[in-house]
Amino acid sequence: MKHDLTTWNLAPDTVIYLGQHPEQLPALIEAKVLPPLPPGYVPEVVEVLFDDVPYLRSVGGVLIFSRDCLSDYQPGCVEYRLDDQLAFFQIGGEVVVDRLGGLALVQGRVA
Amino acid sequence: MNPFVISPQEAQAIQEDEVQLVMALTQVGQRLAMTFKQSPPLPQSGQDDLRIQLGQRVVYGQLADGTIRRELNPNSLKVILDAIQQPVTPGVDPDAYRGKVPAIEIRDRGTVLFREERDGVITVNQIQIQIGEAAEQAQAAIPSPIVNGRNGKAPEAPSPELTVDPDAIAQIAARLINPLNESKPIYDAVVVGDYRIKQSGHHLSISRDNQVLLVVRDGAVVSNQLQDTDRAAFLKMETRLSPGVAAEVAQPELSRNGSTPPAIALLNREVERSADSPTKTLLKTTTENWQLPTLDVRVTQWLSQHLENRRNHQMARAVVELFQRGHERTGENLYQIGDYSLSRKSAGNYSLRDQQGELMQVRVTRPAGLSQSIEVVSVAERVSDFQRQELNRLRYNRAAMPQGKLDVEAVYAARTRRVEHTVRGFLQSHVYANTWNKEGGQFKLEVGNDDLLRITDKWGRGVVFERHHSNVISRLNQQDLLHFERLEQRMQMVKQRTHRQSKTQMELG
Repeated sequence: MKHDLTTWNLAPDTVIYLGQHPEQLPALIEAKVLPPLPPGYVPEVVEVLFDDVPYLRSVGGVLIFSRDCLSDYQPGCVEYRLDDQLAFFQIGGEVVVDRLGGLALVQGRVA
Repeated sequence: MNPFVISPQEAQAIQEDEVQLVMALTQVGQRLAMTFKQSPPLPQSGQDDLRIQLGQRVVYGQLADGTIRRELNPNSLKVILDAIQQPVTPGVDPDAYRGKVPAIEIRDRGTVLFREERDGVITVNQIQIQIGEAAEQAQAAIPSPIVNGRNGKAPEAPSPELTVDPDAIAQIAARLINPLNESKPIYDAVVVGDYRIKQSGHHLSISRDNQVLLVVRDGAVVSNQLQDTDRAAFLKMETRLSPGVAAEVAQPELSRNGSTPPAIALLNREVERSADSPTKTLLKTTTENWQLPTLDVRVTQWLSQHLENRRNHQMARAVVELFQRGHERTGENLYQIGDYSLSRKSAGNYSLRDQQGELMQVRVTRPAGLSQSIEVVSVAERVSDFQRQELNRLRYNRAAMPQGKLDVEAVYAARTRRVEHTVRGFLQSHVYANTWNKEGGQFKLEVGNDDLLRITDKWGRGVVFERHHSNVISRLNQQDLLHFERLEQRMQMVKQRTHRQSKTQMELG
């Protein structure tokens, strides 16, 4: 799928990464145009993926799975999936997709 | 079938060396083919037989365009080695994962040797590495049968008996998009799963695949195309709004031993790299909760719990306001509204009941200052979201009026009819106008077409009485009733005085 990444205003390193990992693009393009997740949404399953491999998984707020990794492992990308929906995607220090803004604001208000 | 065994020494070497891992896996593939007496297809020149996929990415092997990829690194080697020590998860139907992206997949000439799904379920493992006691531990740690993967729960298929209740679905959608019931929601549109929820002024809509399924205006359903599958999906989301679901989750399988799992330490580092934002705070809080020394669901579900407390508080406010709405009219201590009864047991202690018993106890105190404090004393577990929403809807519907005892209501109705008569008489026979709105006065009085009569409290309560044809809404309280009864007495005095004067004039004349 052809897509003009320049419209995303990403850092050059991030663009290079995505160019080298085209398999990530379809999901990112889809998530980019989606509205945020509902502020009142409390997901049942939260998964964290490093380099597209699940490393952490919590169900009902309880961490039930953690994959071991080397202490010096530096993933190229970090992804949060909420109930199997792409919610947050970060490459290096740059956030590419963030659909969690509403949940974060609600947390700030009830905290 | 016995697993193919790789020795501990080989395993250690494999972890350190990509070549060894590939060789071992290739051997496993060849031995597998021999076991099944299959003739493996001859590899084409230059074609790579072994293919390792991590997530969506082929990290080892030949791509469709012929490109050879070699991206195994020390961490991915470790991940693969750890994974292939896990036995196949019992009771899993691999077909349930057909077409889905795996976490790890190893193929040899098209044959799947190993496959771990994204939810951690192992659907295929033709390899098993025996590392001393680790293998026995792995066997002992086989989780209890999981029915079709995710979370150890059977997939929730919609029941054919389900009947679509659009009101309930609309309420769930409203809570998703505006959980704190704020006057202006954070977003106008959100997407969860296949559903887009949109709030625009008084309208709330749900759509899927650009097809509008439900439109609601001010709580009333305008259009409804919901199917049972939609209801099932929203009811599932409703459980995610409730902390009750937390009690149902499987026991944690993770052993902490007081140490932070390396993946969490790594996640902390990665989250810290991004710029400061509310989302970053949210993610850090999530990670912190995962690191708590005790796996206390009540703590880890803190956000859900806070929201639940807030919803309970909203429901308590509805209870107190609805009670007051009845009490200010007829001054009783027990009212009925819909399927609920509202009572005040003693000063400040309120109770909400339905036919099955008590739903909520509320205590109202007046601390120093002007505000009143509403405290939720108890909430029955069976209180449903539907009930919460219904009470909130009643709270904001000024036509919804709690009813007291029949005889008391009858007396009240008679007194309001007298007020109505008094006001009509006042406007038509004393001030000769359709509206009376004296500056500084408490009430604005109006009559109009279609038998309209309206009394508005200008000192803050708004419309307290309105008749339009046979529709009557009355929030007249005891003070209001006394006010208009005094007006009626004065009108009679004026009438008598006028009558006496005209009689005297006639006698003099």
